Parts: sequence; C-alpha cells; structure tokens
Amino acid sequence: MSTATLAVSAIQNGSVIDHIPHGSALRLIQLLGLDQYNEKITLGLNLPSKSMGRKDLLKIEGRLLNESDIYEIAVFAPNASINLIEDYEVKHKFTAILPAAIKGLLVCPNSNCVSRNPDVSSYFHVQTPRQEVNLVCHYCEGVFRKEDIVEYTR
Amino acid sequence: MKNTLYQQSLISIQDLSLEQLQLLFTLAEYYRSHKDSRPNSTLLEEKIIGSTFFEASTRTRLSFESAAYQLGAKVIGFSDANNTSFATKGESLKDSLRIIGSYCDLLVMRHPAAGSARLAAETANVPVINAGDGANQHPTQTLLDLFTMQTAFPHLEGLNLVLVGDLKHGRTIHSLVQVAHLFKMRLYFVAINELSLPETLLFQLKCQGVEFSFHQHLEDVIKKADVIYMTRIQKERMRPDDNLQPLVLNQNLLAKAKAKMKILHPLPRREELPTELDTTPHAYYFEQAQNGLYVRKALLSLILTKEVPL
Repeated sequence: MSTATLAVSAIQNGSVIDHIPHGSALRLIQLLGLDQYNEKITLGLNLPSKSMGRKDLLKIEGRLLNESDIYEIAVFAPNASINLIEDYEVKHKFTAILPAAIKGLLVCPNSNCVSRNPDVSSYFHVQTPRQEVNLVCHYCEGVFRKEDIVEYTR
Repeated sequence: MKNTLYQQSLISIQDLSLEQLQLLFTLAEYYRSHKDSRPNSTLLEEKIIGSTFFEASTRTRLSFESAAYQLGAKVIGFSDANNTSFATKGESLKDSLRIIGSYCDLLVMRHPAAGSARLAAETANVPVINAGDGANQHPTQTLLDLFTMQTAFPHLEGLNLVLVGDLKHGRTIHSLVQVAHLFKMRLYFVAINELSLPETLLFQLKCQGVEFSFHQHLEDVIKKADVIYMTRIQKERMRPDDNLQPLVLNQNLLAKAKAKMKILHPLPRREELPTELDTTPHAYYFEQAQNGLYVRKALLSLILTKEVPL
C-alpha cells in the first residue's frame, strides 16, 4: 500500500485542511471542537511533503469550515490550505490567513485576567514579529506565544 | 498646545504618545511650580469624579482625591469594595461599572484583576483612569516616575535605570519598562530568580530594541545607575509559605554610586529601603510621592477640559 493511498481517502462533503505544520493537527482538533464531533475525521500525522518536509493533514466529513474557523486555523497553522468539498469535488480553496484579532475562542493563559469572568469574552490581537505568531490579550496585555494557549471556550 | 487627552481614558502607559507625555509633564510642572497658589482651583467645579478602589490604596487614592478637590471637583466612591453590591450581592463587574459610570464624569479605578480597567473603559460611558489593575499596569505611577526623573535630570534620554526587587509582581515596574524605548533608557534588572520580570515583558522589550541585562546583586551595577528604582516584595500576591528575602540598599552600596544618582521607590517600603537613607542626597522618593499629586492634577485637567488650562 502506498503512502499516497493512505493520505488521500476521499470525503463526500466536508473540509480538508492540508499543509498543517507537523505536530499541529491535534491542536486544531481541539481548537475546532472536533474532539466532541460525531462524524468521520481522518487524521494524518508526519506525512511527507515536498515543501514542508513533514506535514499533518485533517479531513472532516460533514462540516464546511467557515471564515472564523479559517482565521483560527491560521494562528496555529499559518499558510495551511483548506479545501471545501461538496459531492466529492473541491468547491472552494483557501489559504489560512492570519486575522488581526481573535474574539471569544481562546482562553487567556493569565489566570488573573478579567477575561476569565463568565460575562467577558476573550479578545486577542495577533502580531507577527520576526515571523512568529504572538497573541496579545486585549485586557491583561499579556503577550503570549501560540504554544501558551492551552484552553478553548468551544 | 492642542489637548489630545480630552475625554480619553488612560488604561495602559502605552496608550500615550511622546507628545501626550510631554503635554502632561508641562502641566504637571506648572502645578508643581505654583503649588502654593494652586491655580485652576475652580476648573472642574461642575465635575464629579468616581473614585472606585476595589483594592487597597493610600497614596494613589488620596493623591487623586486631593487633586480632584484642588481643581474644584466633587468626589464620590469607595475605598473598600466589601461594602459594595459587587462584593456582597454578587453583582457582575460589568454591571457595577456601567452603573457607577452613569453617576460621574470620570472614573478612577483600582481592581485586582488584570485588564479590569480596559473592561471599565469599554463598559462605562465616561473616561477611565487605571489606578492599578492586578499585576498588569499602573500608568499614573509611571507618569509620576518619569516626571520625577525629569525634575532631577536635564532630560530622560539615555538614563541608566536599575530596577530592583519584585520585578515579577510589581505593576509599577511593568508599566515603567514599557516606556523605556521612548527615551532610549538602558535597563538593569536586579532580582532573585523567583522575582524576575515576566517572560512576556522581556519579549516585548526585545521587540522594541531596548537594551537590558540581569543581575543578582546591586553592587554589580550601582556605579552605572542614574536612577535606582527599589520595590518591595509583594507578599500579598504570593503563597503564604513563600519566604523570599529582599535585596537591601545600604550606605556601603551608596558610597559607590554616582553623586547625582537618585533613589526612587513607589512606596510603601519595607526593609529593602532602610530609613537611614532618607537623609542622603540620593533619596528622592518623598518628592516622587508628592509629584503624584501634580501629575494627577494634570491628568484630570486634561481629560476633563477641552483646552490646555495653562
């Protein structure tokens, strides 16, 4: 059995996220709330890639990712390619582009931040100094690396 | 002079431009040099200041309230949150802020949660001045720190700042280091490992191109200092069993310092700054505390009046 056959099992309707930096796919599963998802998910880890050396890949049956999903993916997998599939055909193709800000999804790692209150939504500004992705909390002003974010509200 | 601070909140020291800092210092110097005649004593006579201290404060609260009274404003508020609906009836902070904001023209707020002042500025319909939010920011302290340095040195550019003590929890430190780049200040951090500056701030300083270094002992850097900024260990933000010893400044160390070096301390002090140093020419912390009044008068004046009252 070839590697190509393993990586490409077609889905009828849903989304394919390709070119995920290797090691990041499990975080995307958590970020997109897929750990509670009932449909079929195909996960590829450490797949060979000409451009990246190694990459991860996710196929999600039955869910078409929306704009805010794509922004969120971009934080953890910048430049990932996203294909929306309808009836086995690629209907839309995007590259994950970083948003300027992310509201209400990531939990601020600062346990004393006011955004931890139930009636306050988290709000991060996205900065990209020196090719890195930093998340700056709008409230407590903490500057966090994406690896520091370990909780999501979804 | 154009007043770009009119109706603006001050949440983070980074909200202010260099021009706004200079405008504030110009007016603060006017109030300092006319402290006996107290000009602008009716400037804010139609205004009500909300003084909302959800966390303990002495100098900050009293200097704000004194500043308000000296400008003719009225003050409402509380200094003990335990007597509020927020603490006793479980009212949300957002609801409390919205309602208090509707009773006054400006809110001065201190709260233990980081980011609470930003939330207040977005919730209350009046300008908010952050008087300290958790371990995050204390921008008016930074204003008075800078203003005090400006009264002691010809200019702020290129000063060597030695920051000593609890750099982890000290919000005065966190605010101060964030403006170092504006004046190309050189920073020397002197702290035990457990109390060093948070990583995220160091990262920010690197991005801003600020030059800094770390030291375990004051004697390693005392000769270089223009300003030594002492801070106390903030035991109230630690576990009860943490027993960290302070770095103490003393006469022997001062003997090696530059003649014009000034000691600052946001106060209250503990054993890190012995009272025997109060009479040395280096002691400048009581002037620093007094300058808080002039800086806060300047800030209230500029936020609540359209024209610069000079």
